Amino acid sequence: MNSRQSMNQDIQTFRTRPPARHDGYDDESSLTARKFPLSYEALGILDSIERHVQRSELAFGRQNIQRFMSSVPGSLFDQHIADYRHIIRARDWPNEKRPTSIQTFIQEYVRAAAIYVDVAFDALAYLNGSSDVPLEFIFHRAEASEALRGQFGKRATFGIDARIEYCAEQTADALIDLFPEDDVEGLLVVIGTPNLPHQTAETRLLEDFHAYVKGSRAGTLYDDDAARSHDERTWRILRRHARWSANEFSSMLRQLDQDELNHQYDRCRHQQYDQIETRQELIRRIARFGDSCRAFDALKNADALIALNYLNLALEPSFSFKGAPGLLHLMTFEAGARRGLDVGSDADQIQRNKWTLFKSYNKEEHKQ
Amino acid sequence: MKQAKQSIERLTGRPASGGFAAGRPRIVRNRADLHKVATGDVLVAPETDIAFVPAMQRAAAIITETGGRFCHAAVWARENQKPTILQVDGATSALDGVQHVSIDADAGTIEWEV
Repeated sequence: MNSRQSMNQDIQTFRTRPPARHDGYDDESSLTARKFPLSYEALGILDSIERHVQRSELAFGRQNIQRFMSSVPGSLFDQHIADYRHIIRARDWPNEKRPTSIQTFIQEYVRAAAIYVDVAFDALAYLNGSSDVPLEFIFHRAEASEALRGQFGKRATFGIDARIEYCAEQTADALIDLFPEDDVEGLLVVIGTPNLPHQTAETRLLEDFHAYVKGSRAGTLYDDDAARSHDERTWRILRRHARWSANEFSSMLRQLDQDELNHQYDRCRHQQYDQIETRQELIRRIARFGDSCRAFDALKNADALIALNYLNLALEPSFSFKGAPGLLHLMTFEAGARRGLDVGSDADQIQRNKWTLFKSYNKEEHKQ
Repeated sequence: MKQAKQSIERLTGRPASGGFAAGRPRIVRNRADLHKVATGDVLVAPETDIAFVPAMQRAAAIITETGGRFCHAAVWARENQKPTILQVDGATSALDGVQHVSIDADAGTIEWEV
């Protein structure tokens, strides 16, 4: 088997099932997996969060979810991200400085992400009328959940964006000792654009729709009922990209240029393999510096950079504030506002509530 | 017959994904503006989010006013080989009404005639 075939097999393995650590990765083409344990682990993390969402969907009932989402005004979908950003940016959220190791940060980030999903489903039950908890309870729970998400998010001193920048700087510092200085920015870009299997949610959207179009029976592509089916090909898109809304699904499908979708898929696959080979070659070049400390630093920080970047770019749009869980948090905040509750008004209470929520997380419920 | 001398206006920003492109700039300030982006247009926005993806797919190039080297727009653009320039201050106001721009996303420049 040549190196491209071996790499293709690695990629296929990543894409079809959650990767087990060190799963048969012994040859040259799998150097990435051996040298990059964190980014390897990140793939499994996203899969586990998605499976958690899937289980919650099935427990709540997919028909119930679609029925509820079809009652949500289109204007709310349009304004969701802008309104949520306003809530985040217009308040001083109590974020603690938490300079943990990268490994601990990733564990805590993922824990906060799983809690955010749980609270979203609690909110859905309240908004749907199938829960009799008082509004104040679910409002403060959503507020704590958002505060927890933010603790590890963009605006926190030791949140994910700050961590990504730090890893990028450390990687660049190490690379400068190994390569010509003028090349370092370009090398950083190669590392920070890992492509398959660590794709952005936006590229996954195009791939998921490409798969959907390819698998649809002729003449049914724009059939509105198709978006209301319960098959996993449809629900993958509803869950990841369309906030469970059949209207959003149909709207996106209609906006996508079908010819461009097919050509882009074919063209991008080819480009993706070239980019992956470039990255693999870079890693081999770094690894050839052998026991050099700077080579070790470059690979260690590059690994962290890919893992964190992947979580930021793939998990956040689908399963965080920009996705369906975020929309449900927003709807809860708006329900509270109509009763005079103000998000973020009591920083001390938020601080207490968020760590109580964090500690109450039951990991057993979220195991694969 | 004398021809009016035309001058070139230019904006600059941070290259995110290289390449050359040209087209009509379409200002997208929110989701309601997305339908304006036709195939081959240049998408110009303060920032992007996942709802922008179909328009980003159709666009010949992408210009944003914000975003770091690992932001969604930058990484997506590299994954999909779309010329993209970030951190172009004032792009949405400067390019509003402009009919045609030329983009050098390797150099991070946007030029048009006035």
